[in-house]
Amino acid sequence: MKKDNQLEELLRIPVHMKLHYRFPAGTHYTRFFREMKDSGKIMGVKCTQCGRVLVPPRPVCGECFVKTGDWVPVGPKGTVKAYTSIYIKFIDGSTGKPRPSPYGSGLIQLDGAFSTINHILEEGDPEKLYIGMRVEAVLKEKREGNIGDILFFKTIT
Amino acid sequence: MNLRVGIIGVSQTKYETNKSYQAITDTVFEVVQEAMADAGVSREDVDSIVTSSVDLWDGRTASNQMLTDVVGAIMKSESRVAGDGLGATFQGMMTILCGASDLTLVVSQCRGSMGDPYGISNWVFDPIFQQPLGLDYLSAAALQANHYMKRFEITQEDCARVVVKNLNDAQNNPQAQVAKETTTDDVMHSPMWAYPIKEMDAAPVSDGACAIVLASQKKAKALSKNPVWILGAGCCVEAHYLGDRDLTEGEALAKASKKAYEMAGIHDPVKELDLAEVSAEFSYQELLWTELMGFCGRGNGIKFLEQGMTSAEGALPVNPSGGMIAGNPVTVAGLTRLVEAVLQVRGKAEARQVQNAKMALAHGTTGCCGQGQYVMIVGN
Ligand SMILES: [Zn+2]
Repeated sequence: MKKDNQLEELLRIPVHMKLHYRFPAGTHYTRFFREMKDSGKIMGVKCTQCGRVLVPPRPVCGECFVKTGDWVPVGPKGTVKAYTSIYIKFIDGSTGKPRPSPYGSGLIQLDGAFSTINHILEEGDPEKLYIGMRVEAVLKEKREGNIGDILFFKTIT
Repeated sequence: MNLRVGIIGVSQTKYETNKSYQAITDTVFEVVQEAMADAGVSREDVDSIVTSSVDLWDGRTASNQMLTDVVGAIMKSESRVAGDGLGATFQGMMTILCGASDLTLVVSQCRGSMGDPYGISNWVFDPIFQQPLGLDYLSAAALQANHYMKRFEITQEDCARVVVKNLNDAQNNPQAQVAKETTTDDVMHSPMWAYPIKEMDAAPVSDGACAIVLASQKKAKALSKNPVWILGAGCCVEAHYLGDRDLTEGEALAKASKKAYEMAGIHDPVKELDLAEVSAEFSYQELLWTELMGFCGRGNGIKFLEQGMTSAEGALPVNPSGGMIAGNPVTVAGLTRLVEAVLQVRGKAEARQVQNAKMALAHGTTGCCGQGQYVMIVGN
């Protein structure tokens, strides 16, 4: 049980962990980000067994437990399958600053893909967002080869 | 199961916003000693130890190493599950069923107050594809909540009723962190965090720990007058990547429950179970989980609650302790549910006791939006 007097007496030592990692993107993420950077295309891979187009592309279809096959372009238009509006502050890793809130966040099924990707939605008002809403990826002009090359998904009609 | 595993000792701490009046090791030593005293065993009797904790929450690598002394593991077998405490119980159960151990101590601890909960849960996701977009357990749960609520036409007020039930019932639970007379208005007026999840729809983040003593059938009968038996157990995991899942489905929980029911010989969970303690970190999850566990039809979780079926006096009380909404020791939560279930079937749950409780369900989950699911049935 809480002992207030002790809580005041005992120290809490602040520790800041700063570690750097170099995550290998592997063949599939590397090709995905290169294609998007160089040609502005969003790509998925098709499973050789179930035929589902997986985005992000990956070497194995977990459902079928087999290697995936051909690369196919998907999007850039897609459909919102789930959404939320984020009101609490999130520190954006790429800027180190809080993202202005509320902002829309959704699971978007790119045209031609089976799986959805999560991303920022231009529309942040939960009253205006809906499942089935049509959206389109807006890409950065000067792309760097990472997920930030998709800025957000804009609403289309 | 040919041979049963018994639970002969249990202990839990009070769940609190901040336990900084103790070191982690002090807290763990306390629950371990209490669970061993409850079982009437000493350190010498324990063959193996399974701990559950997560490095990022503990802020160090292989963080179970800091517990070696206080769980009594020196010169014994110790293994760690980097996840939910009920998952560690599965591992503990297996040490006994495979014959490697007659007496196994399972310990789970977490200090939610130490770090940044949503920052830590952001690290669960793919660092290349998902982390930079700010996905964390709250925003991912909000996607699931909204999708589920839209599909079955469930309102925010409906979800608020779950919070009202849990926080009111938690007043009977001295271990609860949050317990108070609550109305749906209170919940509806709490600040929006991630639409449609408001502050009061979300479990708090707590500090806490649990320990239990598991024993082989022979040992349990020799040591305990009334051991509580693990009658059924099922676990199942679905795809980790959110975009591969229909978040309104949850086949893993349906499968894990089915397996546990089959093992325990349960045909109708509502009739045969006396209560369920489920790990719902957000209000909507209690509705979704009860549907997937087969307590009611899909989309009927709210009807089931409104009919009073899940209230403390209902046909199948769900979370008479107040559940995670009343206290959320993060990775300990599933073991808390099991400790509550054991106290209930022992008839030792004091003010929150469900009358004539003989068989109870304990549920734990790990990963995002119910990716990994554990269901355990315990009874006399
Ligand atoms: Zn496949």
